Amino acid sequence: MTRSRIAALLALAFIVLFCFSGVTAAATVKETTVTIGMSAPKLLFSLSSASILLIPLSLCAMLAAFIALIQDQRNVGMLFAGISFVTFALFMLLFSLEKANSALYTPISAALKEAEVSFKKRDVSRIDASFSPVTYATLICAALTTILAKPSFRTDSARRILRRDLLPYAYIAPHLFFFVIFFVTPAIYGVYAAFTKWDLFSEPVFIGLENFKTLLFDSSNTYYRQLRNGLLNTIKFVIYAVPFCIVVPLSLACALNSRPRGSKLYQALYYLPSLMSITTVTLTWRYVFNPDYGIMNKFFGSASNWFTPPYSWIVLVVVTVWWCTGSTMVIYQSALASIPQDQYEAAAVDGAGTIQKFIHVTLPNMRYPLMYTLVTTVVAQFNIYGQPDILMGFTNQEANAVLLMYVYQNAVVKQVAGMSSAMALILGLCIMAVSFVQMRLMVRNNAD
Amino acid sequence: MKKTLAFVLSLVLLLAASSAMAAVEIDYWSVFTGADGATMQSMVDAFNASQDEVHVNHTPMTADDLYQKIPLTVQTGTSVPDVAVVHIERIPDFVEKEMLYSYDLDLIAEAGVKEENYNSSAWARSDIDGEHYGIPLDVHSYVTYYNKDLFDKYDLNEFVEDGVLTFDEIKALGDKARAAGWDGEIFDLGWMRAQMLGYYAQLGDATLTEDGIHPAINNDAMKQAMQTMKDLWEGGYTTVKNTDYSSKFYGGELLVWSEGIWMKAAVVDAGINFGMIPSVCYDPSNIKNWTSSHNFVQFADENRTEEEDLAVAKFVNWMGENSITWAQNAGQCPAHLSINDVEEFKDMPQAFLADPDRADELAIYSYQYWGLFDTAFSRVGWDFVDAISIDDALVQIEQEINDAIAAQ
Repeated sequence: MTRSRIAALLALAFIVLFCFSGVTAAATVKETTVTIGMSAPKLLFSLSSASILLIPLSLCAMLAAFIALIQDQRNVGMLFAGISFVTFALFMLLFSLEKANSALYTPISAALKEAEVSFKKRDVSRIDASFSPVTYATLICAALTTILAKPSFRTDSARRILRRDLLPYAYIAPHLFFFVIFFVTPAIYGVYAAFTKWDLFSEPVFIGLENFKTLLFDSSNTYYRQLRNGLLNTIKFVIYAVPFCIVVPLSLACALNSRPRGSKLYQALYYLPSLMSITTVTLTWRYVFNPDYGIMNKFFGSASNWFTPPYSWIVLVVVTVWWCTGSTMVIYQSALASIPQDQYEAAAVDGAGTIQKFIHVTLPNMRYPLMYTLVTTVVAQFNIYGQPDILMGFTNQEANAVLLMYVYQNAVVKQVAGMSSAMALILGLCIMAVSFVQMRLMVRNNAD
Repeated sequence: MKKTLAFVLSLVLLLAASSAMAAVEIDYWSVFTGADGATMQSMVDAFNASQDEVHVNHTPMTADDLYQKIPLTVQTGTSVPDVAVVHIERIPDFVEKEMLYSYDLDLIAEAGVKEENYNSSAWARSDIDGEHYGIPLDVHSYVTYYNKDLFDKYDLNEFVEDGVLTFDEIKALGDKARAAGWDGEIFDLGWMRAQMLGYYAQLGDATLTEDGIHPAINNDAMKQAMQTMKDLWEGGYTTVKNTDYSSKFYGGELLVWSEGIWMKAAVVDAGINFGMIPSVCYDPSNIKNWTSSHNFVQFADENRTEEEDLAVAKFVNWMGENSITWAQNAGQCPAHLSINDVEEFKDMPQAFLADPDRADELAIYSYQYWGLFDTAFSRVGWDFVDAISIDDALVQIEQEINDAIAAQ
C-alpha cells in the first residue's frame, strides 16, 4: 500500500471520526451544575456560533485532500489536509475561548429547566466546554494525514514539482477562500435550513419535507400563495425583460460598430449605468416616474400612476434594461469587431442590403455570444429583487412582488427562515432547470 | 539612579492616574436617522462633553436595520451594543426570545433612574413577569396636522375650535372647501398601521390578541375603522393611494394630514403655518392617538460588566433629564416627567400629549408578534378601500400572522 493510499484512508478516517466527535458542556447556576453532551454534527447544524462556520471549511478541505490523494497527488493532498488541520484547530480554539457559547446555551437552558432551576439568561454567564477525546483524535488524524501526504523535498526536482503543483492553487486561493466562506458554506446551510423549522434565533428543528409539502400542496396556506404569486411574477418579468435586455444592447452595439462621430463617448455613456448600484438606479427612476412630481407625467402630460400594474411592468423593464445594457453591449461589440470584413464584402458583391447582411452575416457570426448572454440574462433576471422591492414593494395586492422579495422578507424580517429557504431552493431549482434546457439548446446549436 | 527612579515613579503615577480617569466606553445603537439621528448625535456629544467618566459611541441606523441585526449580533455574541433604543412594542418578543437582560433597579437607581421620574404608561409597558426591561426616552403619537393658512382662506376654523376633528367634520370641511373652489386633497391615506390603530382604539379595547399568541383583529371595531376610511375614499375625501402625502402637505396641497409628532420639524422647515391636534376621532369625548415609545434596553451579553451597566444608567438618566432638546428638535414628547415643568416645553404644540390628565388618550399596543402584525398589516395596506373587501383583508392579515407563527 502506498503512502498516499494510507493518507487517503486517514483523510476518510478524519471525516468518520468527526461524525462521532463532540463537546461536553457544564454550567453552574445557583449551585446546581448541569452537564450536557452535544455531537459535532449537531453542533455543525446548530447555526449559531461564528466559529462553527470553520467546520464545513475543514470538512471540504479534507474531502479535497482525499480526492487528491487517491489520485496520488501528494503535494495537493498535503496542502488541503494542512488547511483542514489548521481550520479544525482554529475552530477548537475559538470555540473554547467563548465564555458562554450560544450554540450550547439552548441545550444548557433545557437541562436547567429540566432540573427545575429558575434562572435568567444572565445567570448563565459561563458555560465550560470541553471537547471529547474523539475530537482530539479527529484533529490528530488531520495532522497525520498532512504528515503522511508530505513528499520528500530533498531533491531540486521534488521542490520544482511542489511549486508546479501548488502554484495554481496560490493563484486561485483568494477567490477560493471567499467562495467557500461566502458561497459554498451558506449554500450548504441554506439547503439544510429548507428542511427545518427555524426562527433564525433558536436551534433549527429538522422537519423533513414539511416545508415543501406546505409550499406545493397546502393551498390554504400563506406561503403556498406567496410561492405561486412570487414565482408567477418572476416568470412574467423574465418574459417581459429578457427580449429587451438582448435587443437593446445589440442595436446599440451595431450602431456603435459603424463608428459614428463620438462613438467612444456614447459607449462610455451607455456603459455608465452598469457601474451604479441597483439602489441608486432605482431611486433615480422612482423620481422620474413619480406620479405627482416626476418628469414623465409633468412633461409628457400623462396622468398614469406608473407604480400600479400594468404600467409598473413597463417601469420595471425600463429600469432593468437601462441598468443591464452596458455589460451585454460590450460583449456584443467585441463579437461584432471580430467578424471578418470579407464576409460583408462578399455579401455586398452578391447584392445583399444592410438588413440582409445583418441577418445572414452578423447574426450567424454572433450565435455564441447571443446564446451566452441569453443564458446569463435569463439567470440574472430570475434573480430580480431590488427594482420591484424599492419601486412597488408589496403594494397593489402584491402585483409586482417577486419570489426573492418573499424570500428576503420571510427570512430576515419575519424570521420564518426554514420556509423561506425552501422557497429559495425551489427558485434555485427552477433556474437550474431553465439553464439546463438553454445549455442543451446551445450545445445542439453549436453542433449544427 | 535617582533620576531614573523618579522618572519610573512618575511614569507609574501617570499611568495609574490615567487608568483611574479612563472613561468607560459604551456602545449605543439607535433607530434614529435623518434629522432625528443628527439630534440624537448632538445629545450624545453633549453628554460626552458634560463628564469624563463615560464615553458613548453612538451608531444610528434605520429601525428595520436594527431589528434585523440585533438577533444575529445577540446570537453570535459579537459587537452586542451595551445599550440600544428600540420601540416598546418589540420588547415582549425580545423578552420571550431571551434576547434582553432586565434592569437591576437598585443599580440604576444609583444613577438616578427611578420609576417615579417617568411617564407611567410608558414605563409600565416593559414590566414583564416581575422584571423591568425598558427605560422610555419619549412617547410619540400619531396626530393630526392642519394647514392654518388654507383653513383661514376657506373659512374652516369653526371645525377646529374645540381642538379636535371628527370624521363627520372632515367630510363637512371638505365639502365646504370644495364648494369654495378647493381642488387639492382634503384628507390622507397615510401610514396605515399608525392611522388605523388610533381609530381602532377609539372603537374597542385596543388589543391585538386575546390569547397572547394569535391575532384577534377580525372584529367589529377594526371593520368599522376600516369602513370609515373606505367611506372617506368613496366620498372623494381621500383620493390617492401609495403616495407621498408629506410632499402634498409641505406643498400646501393638503388640508388635513395624519402624521406623527416627529414630523413637526420637517413641517416647520417647509414653512407651513400649521396646527397640531389629536388624531381624528368619532366622538370628541373619546380621543385616542396611536402611540409608541422609544425605550433604552440592554441586549443579552455575558461580557458586559456591572461597571458598564452603571455607566449605561448614567447615560440614560442624563438623556432623560436633558430630553428638552429631543422635544425641541425631534418634536417628541419626553417620557422623563421633569420636562413637563419646563416652560419652553409647555409652549410646544405636542405638549398636550404629555398632560397627565389626558394620559388615557395614548393608545400604546403590546403584542409579542408585533413584528409579524406590522408586516402583514402594512402589506394589505390601503387595498381594502378599493381593491379587496374589508372581510378579505382582515382574513388575509390574520392568516399571514398565524401561518408565520406556525412556521417559526
